[in-house]
Amino acid sequence: MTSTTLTQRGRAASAARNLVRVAKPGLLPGLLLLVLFFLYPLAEMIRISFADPQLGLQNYSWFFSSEVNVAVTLRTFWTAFAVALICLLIAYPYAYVMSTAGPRLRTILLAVVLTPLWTSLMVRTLAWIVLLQDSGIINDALEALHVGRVPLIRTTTGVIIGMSQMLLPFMVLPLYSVMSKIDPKYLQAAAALGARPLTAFFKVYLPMTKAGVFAGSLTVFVLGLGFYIIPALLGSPRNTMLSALIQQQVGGLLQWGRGSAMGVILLVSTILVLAICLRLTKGVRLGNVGGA
Amino acid sequence: MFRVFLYGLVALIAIWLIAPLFVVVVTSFNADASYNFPPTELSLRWYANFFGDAGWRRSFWDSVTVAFASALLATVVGAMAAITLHRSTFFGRQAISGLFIGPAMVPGILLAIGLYALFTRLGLLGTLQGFIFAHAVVALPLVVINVGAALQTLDPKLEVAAASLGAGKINVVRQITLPLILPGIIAGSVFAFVHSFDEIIISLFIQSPYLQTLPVKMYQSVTHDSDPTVAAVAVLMMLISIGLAACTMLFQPRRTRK
Amino acid sequence: MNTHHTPSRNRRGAAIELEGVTKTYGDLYAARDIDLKIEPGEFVTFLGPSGSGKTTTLNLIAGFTSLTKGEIRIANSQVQDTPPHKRNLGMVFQSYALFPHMTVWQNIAFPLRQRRIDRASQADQIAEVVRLVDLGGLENRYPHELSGGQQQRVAIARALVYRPNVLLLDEPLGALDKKLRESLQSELRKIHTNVGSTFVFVTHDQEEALSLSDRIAIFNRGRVEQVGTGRELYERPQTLFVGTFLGDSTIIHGTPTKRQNDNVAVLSFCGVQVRVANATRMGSMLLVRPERLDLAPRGEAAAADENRIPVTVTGRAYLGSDWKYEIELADGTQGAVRLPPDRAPYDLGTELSLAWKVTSGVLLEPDETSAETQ
Repeated sequence: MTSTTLTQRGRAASAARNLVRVAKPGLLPGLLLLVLFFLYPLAEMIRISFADPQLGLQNYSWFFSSEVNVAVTLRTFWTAFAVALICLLIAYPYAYVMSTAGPRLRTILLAVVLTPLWTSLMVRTLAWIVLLQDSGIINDALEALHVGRVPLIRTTTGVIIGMSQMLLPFMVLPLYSVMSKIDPKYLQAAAALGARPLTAFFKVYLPMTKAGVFAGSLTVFVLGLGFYIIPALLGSPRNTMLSALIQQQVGGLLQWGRGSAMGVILLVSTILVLAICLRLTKGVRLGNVGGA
Repeated sequence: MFRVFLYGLVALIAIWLIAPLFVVVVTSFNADASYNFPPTELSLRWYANFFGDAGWRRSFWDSVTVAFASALLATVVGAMAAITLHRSTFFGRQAISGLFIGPAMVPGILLAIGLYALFTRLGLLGTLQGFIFAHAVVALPLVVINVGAALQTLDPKLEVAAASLGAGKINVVRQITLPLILPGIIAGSVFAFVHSFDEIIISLFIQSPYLQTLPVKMYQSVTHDSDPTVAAVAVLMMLISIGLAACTMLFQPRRTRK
Repeated sequence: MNTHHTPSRNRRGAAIELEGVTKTYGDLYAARDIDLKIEPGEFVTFLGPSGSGKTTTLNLIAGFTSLTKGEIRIANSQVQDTPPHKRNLGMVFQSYALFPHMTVWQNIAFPLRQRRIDRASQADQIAEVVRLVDLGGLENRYPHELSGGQQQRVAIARALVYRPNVLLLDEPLGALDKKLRESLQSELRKIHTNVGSTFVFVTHDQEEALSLSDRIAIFNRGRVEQVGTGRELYERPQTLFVGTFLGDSTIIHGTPTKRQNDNVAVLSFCGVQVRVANATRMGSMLLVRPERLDLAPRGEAAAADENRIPVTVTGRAYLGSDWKYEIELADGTQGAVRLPPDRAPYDLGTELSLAWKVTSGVLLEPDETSAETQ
């Protein structure tokens, strides 16, 4: 008994010593920057959501009572999901070729897939406006093929095309890192044991890339939830997403409370998705996260 | 047969990734005042327009200033934090590391309205300081991640050996740790610069007519008219980003070859 | 008091004393009540299996790990509160830990720069140590341009250039192939004689320990089991762990019956009386080295100063210098015997008598830290 209380006291003492050690000079400037320009603004947003125009839950009850808001939220989730799925379908063969290609082709493919990270979001969005516009080259081609013109810009389709391209690197990189570690002998062994290529793929290869699939899909989905610029420029006000709605409330209507409440809802759902998926895929490490 | 199909598919994906950039470059040489593609005639008038317009020029220099200052701030602060986090084990270290990655995990729009509220009150809207702090805080994770990765590959025995040979803590960091993680610091600072140079969501909220970074001015141009000057600006921005990326790639092998 | 802080021209080693040295990680003892006295200029090896506490103890001496309890004195002054960079020790690591961004010259100059030694003396000292470890001509290479053996020489040079009175070596030859190891071992001995510093060497290779050291400290489960010269440890192990860890042996596990006059103890082993002369204490386990054992035909009478027990041959190998037999005792225990190479070989399954002088062998008690439980 005495020994346990002693170790407990020892632990408390070392925790106290640790707290002092946290105040290391090396961390202070960073913590200051984060507290002032990251934690405080977020806390402020949460406070406003409950306190503007007066104290209470009015902003949240407004949010859930409006059919438009709920529809926009569902559309946001659906769009992010569709983007994650499309990215997965595109990234999987791409990453596979990268992992089996020779060093020179691999370098080229890597450079190509990283271009969205190295070129401005505005630049890419502008390119899609040029390509997707009603009088753009894609519609010209469709007309020439007697398919007829289809609205691409200011539709969810346009938004998904633009977002998928922006987010593709976040899917390709984790998939590639998993695939590059798979020994091709496994597939040869499966073939030698009589498995047909398709069976070998589904029974042997796909399960081995599960970690990459999870990490990539999760990253793309979560980043997709918060997209603002692409929906604003490639979408239309009629099929807006949550971020644009927040902007509209705060920037356009000066409804700080309502905008902040929507922000809190977006933040909470992002955290929830992350927490649930991380619990489901314990030990899977996410790739680097960033972007807009 | 399957291989041909696979490589064809990958080629299409690569085109899908690259084509938009090509389109922007071509559009920037369009002679008409429209986004028509392909253009019927080529000219350099939109580049001339950019260099001749005081507004665009000011946006460019504001962008460079903000990107440079915020990258510098994020690099110094982030590298210090990454080294401190790496060298110590204390209660709550995980949480602190998570906090330093936080700004990259939170949707940009949330930080944007939070900073908008804060800056309105502090009078920082449309100021250089406001832009620098806001961009530095979102660039911080990029520096911490890059420097952290470099520290991961650093053999911890080297620091121990340096201490056994008589180097105090500061000398270990200055003479051993810093030179060895320099590629990571440079990569982090370039990422931070490019990120700030391209940042749009937060910038849209904290801008004012007196200070608009390039992406903000591009956004407003795109939403108001079809002026191909934006395409010319886009090409210039691309050149800067690609140039910087090439610089880091050149720098990395030279250090390891040594 | 602080004589060990200033690099001294006289190249004498420092004494190292450990008293009650203990290091715990939670409930785990990495080092437990270690008492050890290392003489100035001595070459001492810490030998033990992995996780036995030898490296922990070395790190405690170096100051990389903080002490939980106890006292460490180097050159008669307490150092437990002195940070590593002020202990004036040299340390050589298994991974060499050469600074990859510095040339050989810059690596060796590093400790001199920390001590703010002027450039002219730096050059002299570096030239001297480069000659000592035979690295001439490689001064401007980077570590990755050197072979493993050359890298290790640089590491040793770097740790010796400021003439520390103690040099700590943490399995420095572990990553090298056998031939290179052996040549570096004899070189290390020469370097030790030349510089006269106290060397503390950590290894798990008993041959290396025996060929290098003045004395060996055997580590097991965070404790020092025994300290002594290689011969003392081999001939007179004090614990079963030491006896079985160092070299081959046959263990006869009997029941102590009585103790006769003149320090002769008697064990009963499967109905046979086994006598042990010079038994300073009683024990149930008799440990005998293979070269002290002989094999003889069954039924031959034992000499007066001899023990004989029945055994069966289970294995045989010709090693050039001798025959090595594996035998099985009546209770099923395996044992080892070495016989001269000119003896006619016995076939497998032959039933023989195992014979040895009553003066050979050591009586030990079974202990919880024996090699079998490792």
